[in-house]
Amino acid sequence: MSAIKWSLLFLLVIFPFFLLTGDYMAHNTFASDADSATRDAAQSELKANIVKNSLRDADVYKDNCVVQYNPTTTQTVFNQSLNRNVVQDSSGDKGYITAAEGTGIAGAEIHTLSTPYPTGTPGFQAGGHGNSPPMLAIRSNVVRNTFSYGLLSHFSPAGQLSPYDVIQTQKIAILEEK
Amino acid sequence: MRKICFFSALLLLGVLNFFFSYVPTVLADTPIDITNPPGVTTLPSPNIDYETTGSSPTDTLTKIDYWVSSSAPTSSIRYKTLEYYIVLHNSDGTVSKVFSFQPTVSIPSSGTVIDEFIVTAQNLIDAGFTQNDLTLQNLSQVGLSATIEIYNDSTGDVLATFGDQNSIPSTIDPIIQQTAGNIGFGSTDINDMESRYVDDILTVIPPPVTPKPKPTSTSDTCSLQVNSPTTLTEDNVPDYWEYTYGTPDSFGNCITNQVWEPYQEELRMSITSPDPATVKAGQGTSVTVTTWYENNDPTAWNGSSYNTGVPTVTMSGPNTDDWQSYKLNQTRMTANMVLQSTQVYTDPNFHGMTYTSGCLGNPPIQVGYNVPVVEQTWVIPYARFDNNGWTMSQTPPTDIDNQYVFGGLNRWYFGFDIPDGQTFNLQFLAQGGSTGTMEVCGNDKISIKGSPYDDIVVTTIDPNNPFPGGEPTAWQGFESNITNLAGWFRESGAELQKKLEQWETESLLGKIFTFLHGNVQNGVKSMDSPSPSPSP
Repeated sequence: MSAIKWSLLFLLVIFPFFLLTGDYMAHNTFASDADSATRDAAQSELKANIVKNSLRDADVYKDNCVVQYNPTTTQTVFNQSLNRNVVQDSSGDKGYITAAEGTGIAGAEIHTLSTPYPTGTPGFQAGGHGNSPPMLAIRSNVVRNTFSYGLLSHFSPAGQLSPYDVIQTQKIAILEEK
Repeated sequence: MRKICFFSALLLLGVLNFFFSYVPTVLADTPIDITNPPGVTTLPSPNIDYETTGSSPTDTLTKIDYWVSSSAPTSSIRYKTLEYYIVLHNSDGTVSKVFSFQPTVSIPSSGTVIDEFIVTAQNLIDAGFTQNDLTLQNLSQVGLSATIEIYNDSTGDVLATFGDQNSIPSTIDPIIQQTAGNIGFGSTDINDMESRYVDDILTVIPPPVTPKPKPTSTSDTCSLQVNSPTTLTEDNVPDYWEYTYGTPDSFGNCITNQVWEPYQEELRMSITSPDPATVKAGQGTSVTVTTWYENNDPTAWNGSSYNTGVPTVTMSGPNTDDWQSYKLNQTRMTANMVLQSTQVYTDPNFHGMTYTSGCLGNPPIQVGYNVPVVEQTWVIPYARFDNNGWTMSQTPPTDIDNQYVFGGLNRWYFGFDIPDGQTFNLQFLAQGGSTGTMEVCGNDKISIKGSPYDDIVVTTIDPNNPFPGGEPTAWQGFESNITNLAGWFRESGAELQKKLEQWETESLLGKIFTFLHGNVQNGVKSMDSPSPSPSP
């Protein structure tokens, strides 16, 4: 009886406890990694895509800096910065990124933006000569494979519980000139 | 006995004449230079000339030149000059001194020769003249006269003698023409005899006014001078100004003098220190060049500007946008600077030309004084940047949108890839003047340090409290762009999923409404149908 009791206790309490605790810790670790990758992507997107010529007179016009966003580099930086093993999409990207920008089309998908300056048509830009300084809001969603989510999804009605842990992170990066 | 009495009477008359007439200072032993000036075949007119130490009354006579002609004899009837007299008249016109000398010229065997008698002040002083005798205030007239004897070379008979120290051309010339002409001398010989008599008012000709010396900096070579103004002054204006002034002679007559002097022009330039002198790679610096031009040739001034001014100032500097290429080829670009402003004013310090007309009775005249100065300010051409690079223009570019086209400032730019510590020269050259070749130049030194990227800071912020340390100036008025994203920032994955599903199932009108509504409410709205759960 005691063995059954301990078995039930282990099966119903201790094992799920450790399972959930481990899963929680793994979630936090992945979330921290995604948070860091999202920050890197946002900051890189701003700094790497500054239009050089806008800096020509930045010593005279402090708000002259203009950024031409380039979604390709953002995704690349995010992929490189994310260290954890997450579920990748068919193109090999580790997460799905959307971007928001204060003065333009908020929440617009970064993948739908124009080709990079100067070869393509204008995308959204920020900053420069009395406009809003450059700012970029990025949201990333990464998908973590988890045993507990998969196990639980077997016991849930079809489609009610996803077998994946989707971690969402958002960062707002701004660019300032000293 | 009668003969003795006759000769005694003649001797007595001669002695009495000696004592009762003017007794000149006869100094026959003083040697003077007699030359045959090469190339002189005709008698100069006038055949007397003077040199003085100046034109003021205290200046002195330094030299007297005479030219006399002598022709070869054609018969036995000849003439010879027994004595020459240099006669100085004092200020009231009376003879003050006579300097006599024996002729030492030889009779030419053929043709006519011109002899120049050079009587220096030293000759006169050696002969007993004092320095005071030679001062212009004690002189009014200088003359040459002679005693000429006509004789028969075959018999030795003297046929006629005429002329003494008091003879002047107006009185002796008729005697020569009558006496010599009656004896049978021709016009050549008569002219030769007349050349021994010169009587000229001592119109002391002052030496020409010494032109103003050129300023010291007159090099045409455009030497480079770092950060220092360079001045070039030239008097190469191919024209001269003429002025006339009068000086009174010893008799109070006003003697007119004419002087020519070249016009002068001046070109100066100053260059400001570059602003900034230390440039961050990729950025630019501005320099202002100021030129001053003035010309005292009245024909150069058209009433508002100089025809001979400074049409252009050019500059050259390194083209370092392609740093690797510059390192290989030291590529430089040249551009005309932009004329920013022009001012015209008079320069009281310019090397003016002024003179007084003296005894001519006219008021003093100033020529070329306070001439207009044209001050011009030049700046570096306007810059324009687009995806094709940097171009310069004389007018401000009109298509600057600060998105794809930048610039508009008058600056010289350097490439983004230049390492720290590199130094470059900007060179400036102003050219113009009446000959078009007058030029002045200088340069500025610029060093590179840092990059504009050093000044850029990218940070992540919380939209609920974006600037806990205080709102930066650049963000004033735009903070709502960040705070409007607070709702989007809080959005959980479930809410996002729900919103996306709602977006997928909504009608087109609903999508538009949701999009617009969502933008207003949250500043955030999904525009597409992303798949937050990518297929594994």
